[in-house]
Amino acid sequence: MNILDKTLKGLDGIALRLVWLGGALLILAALIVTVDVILRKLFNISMAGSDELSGYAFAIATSLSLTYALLHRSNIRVDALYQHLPEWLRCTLDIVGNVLLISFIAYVSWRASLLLADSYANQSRSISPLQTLLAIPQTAWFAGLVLFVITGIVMTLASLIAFFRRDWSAIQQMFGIKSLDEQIEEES
Amino acid sequence: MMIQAILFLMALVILSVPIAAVLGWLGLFMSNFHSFMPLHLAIGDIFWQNSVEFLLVAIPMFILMGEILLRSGITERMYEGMVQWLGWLPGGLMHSNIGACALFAATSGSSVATAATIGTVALPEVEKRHYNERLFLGTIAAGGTLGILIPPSINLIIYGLLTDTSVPELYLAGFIPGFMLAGLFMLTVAIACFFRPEWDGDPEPQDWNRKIRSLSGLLPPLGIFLVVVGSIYAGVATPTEGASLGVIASLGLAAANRTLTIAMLKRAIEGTMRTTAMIMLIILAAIFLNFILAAVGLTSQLTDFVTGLGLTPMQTMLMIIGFYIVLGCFMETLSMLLTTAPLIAPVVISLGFDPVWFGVLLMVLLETALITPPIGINLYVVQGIRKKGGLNDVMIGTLPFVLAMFAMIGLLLAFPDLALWLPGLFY
Repeated sequence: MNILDKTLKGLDGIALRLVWLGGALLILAALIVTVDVILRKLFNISMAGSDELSGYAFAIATSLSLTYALLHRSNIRVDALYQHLPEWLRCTLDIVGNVLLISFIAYVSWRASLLLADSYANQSRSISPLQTLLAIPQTAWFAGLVLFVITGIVMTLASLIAFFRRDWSAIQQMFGIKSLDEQIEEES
Repeated sequence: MMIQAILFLMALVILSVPIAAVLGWLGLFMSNFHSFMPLHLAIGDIFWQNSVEFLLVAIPMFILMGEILLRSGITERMYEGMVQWLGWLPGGLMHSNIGACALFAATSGSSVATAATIGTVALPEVEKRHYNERLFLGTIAAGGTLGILIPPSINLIIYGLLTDTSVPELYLAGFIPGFMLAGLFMLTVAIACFFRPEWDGDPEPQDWNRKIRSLSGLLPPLGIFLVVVGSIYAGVATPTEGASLGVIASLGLAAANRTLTIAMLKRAIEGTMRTTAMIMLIILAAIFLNFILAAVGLTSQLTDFVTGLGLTPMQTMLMIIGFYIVLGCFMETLSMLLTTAPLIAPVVISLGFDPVWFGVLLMVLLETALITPPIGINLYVVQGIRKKGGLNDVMIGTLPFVLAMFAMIGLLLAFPDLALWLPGLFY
């Protein structure tokens, strides 16, 4: 096992734990919103900010889960032509497609880093009763994007090495579009 | 500019570039070459603003609710309940399939999960009770599509967000057509079994005691559906709040069934977050693209082009429907919705059609896409569970239901009030 594979394995472990963390945040958000709705309707007590907090929980949970989705080949791609192509061409498309995805998110992350720097510099707060320091949720959100880009770069390197070794199955395992059995297995 | 954009989009899609990257790069490309201002610099803000958008929080909540229900062990008993209550109709268990799919899809929102789950429970009955296999397979593949239209539908939320349409209004509009379509499916089965009695299976013995007992499997999912949709319709909760209530209620149901464990929650969370991350990436990219296309004037250019063709609104609508039916043979539904709605909805609205009505029509078209060959994911799912015979059996068995969907599209065109009457009472 080479260093890249080991790194990917380590990243996978981190990604899985971040997914659990994100899911826990979401369940917590669901609980807060539910309590808010019940208090509001039954006792006419308004608990301001449950919408704002669940928004942050959602943003953080989503960005922390991006890496897991990437490592588990969950990106939606159209395979109408793909499935009729020879293996080496499919692998080429796998790599090209993922480079395009990762470079796009890298661009988003760069713009997001400027947003975050602004929030720190101005100590920006949300326009709401909570007056949340925006830098706090934005940092966690940004961290998810960065982890995604780092993982993507490692995967691209690993896939390029596999490509020159003509190790098609390794690329398919990393990037390939999922077969139906795999999809059913996951969803049920 | 328009042709360039469409070619760019089509080329990347057909080369199986991830949809999120296709939309994102198209946005960057259009902004770079066709805009006077560097619009794409706002991408960080656009991503953040929409990442915390309260309406979108409903998406992971509905997915989580479905994942929990899927693992809470309610399916077998719900199916048994449907067999007891619908099995006496001509066509027997095939009605139970449609009913179970409708109820399960309404609570889970995933057509793959629905067809897979109900299929696993139902398929052994084909041989046991001597049903016509093709038609039986068709009921599962077609029934699994119902979740896209019957509220709470995730696709309707996405449509609402992309076109600035009220989601509660869309939910109200989807209610009658959604259940009508389920009714049309059942009518299809009944007609088929009336003319070909040999397609029907062995009848289910009628027993009121078992009927009453089977309610314990039927009422919990129905209850959750009522909590979620009822609270939204009654104006007690927004879609996101309704979804949160649904998550808590499904956790309670799993606890009552003694299936709520840490291991089960972890699996449910993994499934939820994987799907959420993937969908959100595409949605964020689509919102960015939407912003760019409107700003560079491509949206209005397309609208001018279509109005310049000199067709009547109805002719244009028929053209759009044809376009979606063809596209649906090759594309997966979510990508189809996200790549086309930002361009086509403004055209439709400028022609004087109601955006709420078009949302419902579009959902029926997306449902059709799930079962039209060669790329119809539900066909493959049902075949994947069956693991014998050929895909042809599923395709042929599903064909009558595709016709039922066309009938539904025709009904929506002829009587827009099927969708608009219910929201009209509230808004």
